[in-house]
Amino acid sequence: MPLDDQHTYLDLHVHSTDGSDDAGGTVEGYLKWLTAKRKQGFRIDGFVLTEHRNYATDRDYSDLAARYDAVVLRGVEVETDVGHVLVFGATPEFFARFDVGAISLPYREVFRAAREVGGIAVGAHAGRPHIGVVDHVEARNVSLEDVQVIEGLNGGSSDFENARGHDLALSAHLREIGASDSHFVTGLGRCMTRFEGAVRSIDDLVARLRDPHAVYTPVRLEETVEGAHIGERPTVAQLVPFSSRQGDLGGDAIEFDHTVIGREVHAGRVEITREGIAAYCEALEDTNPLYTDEVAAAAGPYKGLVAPPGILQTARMSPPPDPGINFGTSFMAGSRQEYFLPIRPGDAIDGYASVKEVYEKTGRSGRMIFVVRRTRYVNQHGENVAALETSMVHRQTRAVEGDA
Amino acid sequence: MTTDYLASQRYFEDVETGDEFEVHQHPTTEHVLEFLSSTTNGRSPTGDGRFSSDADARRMGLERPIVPGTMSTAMITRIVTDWMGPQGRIVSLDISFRRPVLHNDELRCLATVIDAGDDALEAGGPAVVKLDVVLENDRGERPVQGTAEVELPRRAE
Repeated sequence: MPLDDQHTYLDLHVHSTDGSDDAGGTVEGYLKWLTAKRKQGFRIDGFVLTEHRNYATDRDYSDLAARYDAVVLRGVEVETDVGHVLVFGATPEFFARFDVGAISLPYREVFRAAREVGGIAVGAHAGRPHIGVVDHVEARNVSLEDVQVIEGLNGGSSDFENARGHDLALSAHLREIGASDSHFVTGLGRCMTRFEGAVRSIDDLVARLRDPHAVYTPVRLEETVEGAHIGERPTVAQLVPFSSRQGDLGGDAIEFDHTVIGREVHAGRVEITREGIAAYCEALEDTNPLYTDEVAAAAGPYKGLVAPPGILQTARMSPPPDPGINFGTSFMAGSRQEYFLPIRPGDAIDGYASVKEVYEKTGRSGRMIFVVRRTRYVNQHGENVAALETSMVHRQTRAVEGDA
Repeated sequence: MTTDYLASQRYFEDVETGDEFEVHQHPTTEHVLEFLSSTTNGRSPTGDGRFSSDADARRMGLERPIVPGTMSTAMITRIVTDWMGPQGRIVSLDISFRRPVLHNDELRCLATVIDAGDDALEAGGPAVVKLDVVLENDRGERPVQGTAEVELPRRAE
């Protein structure tokens, strides 16, 4: 359905590969997806790019937006001492006041500065542990004096977390927006905000959000089809809670050995065997004949058995040089895999590993340090067969209550 | 699967943006232990028991033991290889872990075509389509999300 002036359905919280390192969706990818969803009868009029701690001043999406008959606006998501905050209508003056790349900006100043420069700040994913404002209200009774709007419906949050945000909005008389928090294209529009009237520019958007009498409401994608009813949102009391709630915010800048960045070492060699492939496939109940059925594989495109692409990520090799991160416990945060050539039984694969980068940000568990390792894999013929990047996050953990 | 899989090749011309493919997975503790056994000689890759022990997991703030990231990635890889057929080729896979996947989670593994690749092909590029890939649990969360680029054979070839 094309844009009209009666209502505007905007996804106010979207991340793209143009500015968020944990996103997989491109801006044009989102627009293609928006077009596909419109054909299915859903209503998505546009979105606001709110990259993490990043606002590149030279981006212009107006041509793309026009080509797809959509609204594409820009804001930014910053990290404060009460969690993440979306800022719409930020000006050069705002960016001059803060280092938006920092991970613990003073929230009151952020909310006030946004308003002073003619914009507005909105508490993002309000009900999420640590990076939403609800936790900080409950634990520290932080003041909401400068807060007018929160994101009470977030597509990346659980039902329980959204109910926490909704409860806060009801008790503190805050307005609520809905947004998907998409990092990948198919997440676009899972949750949105429906505005009365036309919203076509960032000035339109800011004016609506600042106006206490403006009519807007959070909606889910399925509530945008013609004739659908916008349902009541559940409160916490109506849901069974589920949250692991861990960690603490703050701390000094992380120290690590910068000299290891980019230094590649031979990490070891793995022999690819039929037995190893079979064991991997059995654990995953993968019966793909290309991996284990010699006769069938001989008739297939590789004229013989090959290994599942994922097998290299399980190869035990030495780690790259240690940057010496002495912080919390490490978990896998991301993986990027590129495949160039098939891997066959009998191949001897050498791995060459390095640390690509180290950086930090905040998440549900508080402060997080990311270490990105890259390993390239070379077969016995000297050919690059694959490259794997693994992002490990170091974060603090806290035992679940009631346990040792 | 042998006959079905080899006979059911997916071709570039047959793919449209919005096409979906899904399977359900239920990684039990037994599945995880089997995976660890096949890949790490039974040792936890991190040296702690978060992947196998209730007590160790709870000490680390986790409700239950978690599924290793490599196993979640393997599940994602598998849905892509099942979807693309024997002559397809994974070009790249980009996975983001946003929450833990817990033992015994009921998982919906969903692959959705987000770009059928027509524009790139017209521009002289290869027949590559893009997919969003997701593991969604029964709490409505999407703990693992990513994108895959897959090269598919063309019917004319």
